[in-house]
Amino acid sequence: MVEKVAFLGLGAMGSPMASHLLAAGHRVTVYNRTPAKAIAWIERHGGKAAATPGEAVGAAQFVFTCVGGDDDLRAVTLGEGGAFQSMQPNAVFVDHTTTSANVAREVGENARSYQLQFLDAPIAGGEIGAQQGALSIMVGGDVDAFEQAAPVMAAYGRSIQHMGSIGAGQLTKMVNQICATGIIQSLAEGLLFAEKAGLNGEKVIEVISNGSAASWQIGNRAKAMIERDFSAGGTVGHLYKDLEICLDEAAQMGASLPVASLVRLFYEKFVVRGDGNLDAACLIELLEREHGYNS
Amino acid sequence: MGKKLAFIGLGVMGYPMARHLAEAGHDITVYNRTSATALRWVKQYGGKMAKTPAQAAKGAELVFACVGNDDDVRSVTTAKDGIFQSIKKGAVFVDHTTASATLARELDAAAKKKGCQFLDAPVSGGQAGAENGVLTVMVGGQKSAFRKAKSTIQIYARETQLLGPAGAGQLTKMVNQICIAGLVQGLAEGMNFAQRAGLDGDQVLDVISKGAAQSWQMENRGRTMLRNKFNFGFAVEWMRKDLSICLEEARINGARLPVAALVDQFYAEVEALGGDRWDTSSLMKLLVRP
Repeated sequence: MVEKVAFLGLGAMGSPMASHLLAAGHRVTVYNRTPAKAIAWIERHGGKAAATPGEAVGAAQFVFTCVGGDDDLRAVTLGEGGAFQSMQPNAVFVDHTTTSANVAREVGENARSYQLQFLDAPIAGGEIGAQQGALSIMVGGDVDAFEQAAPVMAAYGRSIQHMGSIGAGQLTKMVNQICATGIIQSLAEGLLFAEKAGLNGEKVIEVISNGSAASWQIGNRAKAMIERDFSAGGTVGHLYKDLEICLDEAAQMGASLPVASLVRLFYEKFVVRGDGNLDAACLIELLEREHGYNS
Repeated sequence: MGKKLAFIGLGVMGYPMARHLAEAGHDITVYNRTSATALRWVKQYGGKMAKTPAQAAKGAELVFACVGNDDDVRSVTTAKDGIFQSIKKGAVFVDHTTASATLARELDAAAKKKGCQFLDAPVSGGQAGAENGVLTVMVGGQKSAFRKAKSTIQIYARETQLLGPAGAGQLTKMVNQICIAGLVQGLAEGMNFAQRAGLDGDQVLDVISKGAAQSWQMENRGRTMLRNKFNFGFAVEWMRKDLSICLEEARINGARLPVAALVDQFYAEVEALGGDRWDTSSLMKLLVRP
């Protein structure tokens, strides 16, 4: 079914996601904080561009967003010219940003007061997943809203799962980030050890990736670590932000995250020196410095 | 026509490994420190049992060992009544024990003196891998020795790789254990977080095991962690033995292992809770405590 939709935020993830909506036949209006990007996007893909979120969402039944963090989400929904005051009643707002569960609940409450439906729907799969329309989407919110929005999200989602009430999508994404963090750090330690031991790293990976050390990360990030190529998409800055959210949430619920918090300090060293745009494979570089990193 | 083989050490790994060799038609003599186990093995699978490692190795083309640690390996090799007392010239000694790279180099030198060859060949795949004959074997040593032993090792292995000179097999196994240490801890932190957040842990695993957080441990240990089941698998005391070898080797080669070292300390806490024999996924126990 063709829907009238709006997409707010045309970053590395949002831009390809919005173009998948267009390709699926939906009528798309886009908004981006830097207007030139929105103009360039419609020139390339089609659709309409709006000057504010409020203008973009006019008659849309579904509004999607993928912005930077908690404050950006508040700005596009509740700020000046924000989406909520202009959305039609019962429309569904889907947030693909990775945020805290608290802001999801807060914005969800506000949505209810505007008689709107809200879904927190963070994504996994990276830029490649967005480009190929093969994202994993973890959704929190009312089942009814989920069932309305899922067929539209299918334009860019391969696995779309309802995890519980508002906030459950964000919490699931946090579990994902916590699990991935331990893997990436261990992989860095293992590969540097292999080098120092005089082993052929690629051959070691070939052997150990068949057994108990196997992981998506070993299949997709080990080579970049060995080659010290830190240009791929999983940037340290994003993971640093995501882990901060995890730690805040963990502190509230009394969960202990010793390794996630330690590894976040390793990421911090890159963020502090202005290297937040490096891929997480750069953790191996930190280990190479015999006495730690000196900024 | 079967080869004349010896197998030293019939523990949870060695017992089924030796069984695969017997079933493949080889002429095998076994030795085990507790002789009742060797007796039981011979009754089940045939072959001969020896009173000492030296007696078992006599006349064998290939001698295999799979025992506990460095000292256990020394006691069946270079010590009195060890295999080096009787091993014939040109034979290959294959050590499947997970041990230090230093020991591997030591045994390589001892083997040379006796006119035979040595391969360090630690395995991964666990007890199930040994039972089903699908182990991964990481080998260090000379190419000529590897060529002589490979087809026999493959009777119980799915993957057999030569990774470099003596010690390289042990070093590769260490990389494997280092990669697992923080991975399992991260998985435990994630599963505990999911439970405390009130999420359905099984559903979370379904979703996140398709992407960047996916791992063998997640697929094989995630659900048992959620159910607090640790009475199986790879024992914490063995993991601590392996990690101590890794940390010692890292001090020699200058590699830094901040998370592996931290996780080793967590395993010490698990042991203090009485968890020596629990599976390595029991790191979860430390997090679920109130």
